[in-house]
Amino acid sequence: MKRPGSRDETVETRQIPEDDFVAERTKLLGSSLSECEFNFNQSVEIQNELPQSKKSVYLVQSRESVQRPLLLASVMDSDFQAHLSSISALASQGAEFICSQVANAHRTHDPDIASGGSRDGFESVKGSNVLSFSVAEIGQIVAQAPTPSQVRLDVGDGRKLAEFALATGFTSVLGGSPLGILDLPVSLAVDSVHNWQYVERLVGAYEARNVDVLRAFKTVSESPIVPPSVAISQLVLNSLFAAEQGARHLLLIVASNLHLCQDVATVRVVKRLAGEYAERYGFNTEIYSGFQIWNGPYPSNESDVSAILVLGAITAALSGSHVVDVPTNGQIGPLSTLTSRDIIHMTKASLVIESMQKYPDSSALHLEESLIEAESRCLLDSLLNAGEGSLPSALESAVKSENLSIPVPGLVPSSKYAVPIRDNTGAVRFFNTASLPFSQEIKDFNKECVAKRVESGSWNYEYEAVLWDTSAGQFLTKSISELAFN
Amino acid sequence: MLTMGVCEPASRALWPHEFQYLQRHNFVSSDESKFGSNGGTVKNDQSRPTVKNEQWSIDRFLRVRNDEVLTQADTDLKDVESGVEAHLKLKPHQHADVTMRVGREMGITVVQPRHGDTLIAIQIAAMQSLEEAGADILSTVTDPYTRQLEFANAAKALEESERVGRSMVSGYPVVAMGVERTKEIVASVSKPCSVRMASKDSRLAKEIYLAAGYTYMFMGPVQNLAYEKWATPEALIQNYQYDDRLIAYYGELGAPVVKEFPATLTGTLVPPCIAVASSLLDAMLAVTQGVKHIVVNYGMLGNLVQDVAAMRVLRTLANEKLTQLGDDLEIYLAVPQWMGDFPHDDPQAYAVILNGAFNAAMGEADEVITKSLDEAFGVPSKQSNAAGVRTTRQMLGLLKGQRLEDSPELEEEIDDIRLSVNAILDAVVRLGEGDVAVGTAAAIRGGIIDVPFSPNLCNASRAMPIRDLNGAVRWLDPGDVPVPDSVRLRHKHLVGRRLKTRPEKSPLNLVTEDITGFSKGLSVDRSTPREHAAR
Repeated sequence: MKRPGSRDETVETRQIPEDDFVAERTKLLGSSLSECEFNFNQSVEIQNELPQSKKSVYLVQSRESVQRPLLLASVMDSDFQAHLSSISALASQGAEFICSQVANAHRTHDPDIASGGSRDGFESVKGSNVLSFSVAEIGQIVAQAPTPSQVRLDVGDGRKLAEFALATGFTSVLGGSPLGILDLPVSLAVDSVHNWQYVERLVGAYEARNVDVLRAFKTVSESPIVPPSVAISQLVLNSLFAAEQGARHLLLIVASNLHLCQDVATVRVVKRLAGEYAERYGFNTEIYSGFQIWNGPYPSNESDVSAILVLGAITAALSGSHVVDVPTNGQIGPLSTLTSRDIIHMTKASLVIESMQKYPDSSALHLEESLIEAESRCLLDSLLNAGEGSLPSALESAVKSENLSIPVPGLVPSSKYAVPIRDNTGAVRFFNTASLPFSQEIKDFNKECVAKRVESGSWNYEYEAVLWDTSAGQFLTKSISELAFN
Repeated sequence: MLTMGVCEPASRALWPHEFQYLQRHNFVSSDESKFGSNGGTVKNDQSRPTVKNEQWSIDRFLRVRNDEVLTQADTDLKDVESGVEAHLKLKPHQHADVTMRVGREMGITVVQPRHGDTLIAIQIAAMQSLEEAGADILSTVTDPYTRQLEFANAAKALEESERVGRSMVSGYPVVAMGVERTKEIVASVSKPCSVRMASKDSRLAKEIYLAAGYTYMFMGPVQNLAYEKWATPEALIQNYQYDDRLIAYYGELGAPVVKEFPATLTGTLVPPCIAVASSLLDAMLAVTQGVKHIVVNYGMLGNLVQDVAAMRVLRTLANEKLTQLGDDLEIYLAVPQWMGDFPHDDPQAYAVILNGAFNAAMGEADEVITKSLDEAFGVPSKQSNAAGVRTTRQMLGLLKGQRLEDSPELEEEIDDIRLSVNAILDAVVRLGEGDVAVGTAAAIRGGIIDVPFSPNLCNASRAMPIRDLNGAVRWLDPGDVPVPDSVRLRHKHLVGRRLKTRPEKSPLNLVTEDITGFSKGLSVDRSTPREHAAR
């Protein structure tokens, strides 16, 4: 196996051999519920019999011509009946792509807590206890949804869940990979490398039988703002890891930083770089871009929340994203009066207004793209080199180094982690690049941005600006007289 | 005595009710039936006052004030100097010129909502609520009776409202209220107070608002084409010359007043060149009268690049044209959020409001005029109005420091609008032989300035707009608007692409779809698969 050197050089890759995969699969499913004794051909048949309207890849591809992102909404109910009802409700309200979220408890391998989530008629856990559902029940989710169904797998071991979901007609798998659980203990993420290789191999097995599966990844971070190069590096590494095992249709979803030009640039760069690196490895992939509306803390006032949601929808539309991931009412905070219906109606109306429009090509956009691209290449090349040609090793090394972890600034007082900060215009830069392998030029640029920001504000100390940025969106409603005359 | 005249029809047949109105007022005779079976011709042009773009002398101003304005109704108005005194007693943050200047210096967009209520207590409560929501300037919308100079009816409506304890008409009856009561509004809030009213003759109302301490005025003659069916352009120009001379007089006496020149017109698919030219012409007429604090205005259409381009052209041309006419000007740019049809659904209304706030931020507007969640229903509640302010403020805050950068696409759109506006302004100057007032009136009558869907009988109504595939507003037919050939061809091409994708619909069907696009079309894609394929 060669190391990935120059951009023109391709490298040999290693897919789990068919026999090994089948053996592991038999072992995995054999130890599971008896209901899982379906054969793979039958699962492929179920997928092939789905109508076009339920096929994720088909729908996402149609966005190319429609020029409006597909509206992706999530269902998090742990009770099965409530889960089904929410799917119907979201679809009738305008959601075009629905994701079933897995219960938090499953993420830490605690199925007992997950299955107890809906016990006694109330939901004590957030997310579906889908592993506790029977295969037949999981199949009902697909039957209920008039849209394509996606399952989110940010767990340590997503093998069974991926098997069940794909066998019952889910056409998209979101999350997972060791980099998808960076917010969990490092050891758990490291141990999960092989499990995720299996999931990607499973997706590859469907693809090999001409079943299109949309493998989707999101940026994962504890911090509400993430420097674009870190997000892109996570997503490109994940996409390579998946593509190596045969995944072909890759949806890479970047999270909003609430900066229009930078967010548009990030969406464009992630698509370009993922394609370029896949080509370097010789992978046959189709890359789609997604945009997640603000993933940080939301204010409680409905009008304030609405502005954040609409800005996200507008950015998604103007960036040419294939998919926009809208938050649920649960995600925007318990105090919000906005319902899921409100959120979907609002974001969809924004998407319709902006449809067919795109952010114009400008030198400012190109400059931002080149900055993001330069930083991303530094990170990616360094991480890939650390894997010495092996993508799983590169991933493991990335997890262990914690280079792609961005904790909430202020909570982890360690110089080990990179710390993000907004510049004068609100774009996200590095306050501290920690041990990230950036060139001196990139480090100097970020330092300049910080200096300008600190100069322009009335901060008592530099780090105050960093802390302020973590609560972005919460204190913006002051009038001129409050600011100027008080 | 009113100098207001009634307009003769431009070139179309009259509807029966129009004909009856003109006949009642002795402007037509039934035997002159040139305009079809139901109509008649205008007898003469007696209603057309002579206008000239020159500054009124104080003598002329005071003569008109005493003979024509103060005699319109019994009020507690005193001389102009008393009004100026009220202004001098205001705190700095109650002066609109200070707010506009501070906003610009701090890089913060001024937010101004609208609200008009008949009862003063409710009006004050609403303004206080808007102030709390983050508004920088608090407006008062005038009631329709006062706007139509039906002061007796306004007084009656006020009396009835007070009797039942709720507003029986929408808007504040300023003439019936008078100066002293209106001062209570100014005293109840800590922000500058502004007037928003469209009227063929707002002279008396403006006198009262100014005397009460309002420091932000609104409206110009061309904009009134969207509201006034019968008024002639000449009469509108003359009345607004008075308004502007009054504002300038306050300034000369040490009480600066800001004047905004809206150009939302009918609020329905008004192509940017008409809106920009309209605001500029109204502002040019005002600068001649001595107005120093100018807010030009562009009503947003929803397409990011087109809206930002129009804002850039308006700002550039305002600085270029207005500074040739007056010294020491402060020129600002205001953008009202979408003025057309609104969705009934609150979340969708938020989307429309925020699209306006977003485009305003990207175009670096100095001021945003906000909408409420209740636009589809009528007069907004104070809560829904406050929500419009707050959500706008939040969007502006999120985008602080950001702008739409230069790009070839933006440049192309700027060229399109600038060339068309310059062609209109050149035609105005040519028609008026150098006099903008004469030229403006002639341009309206001649269809050079043609406001789509205007009810005004002097408006040619020959031009027809339509959206292109990207949602930008283009000319389906520019009528007699002097659109340069290059722009005409571009629009023809862009509109043609859309028409080709919908052969089953007539162009006018598509225009109708566009008119109701924001109220009915936000839950479905605007374009069809064929339209997508055409891209």
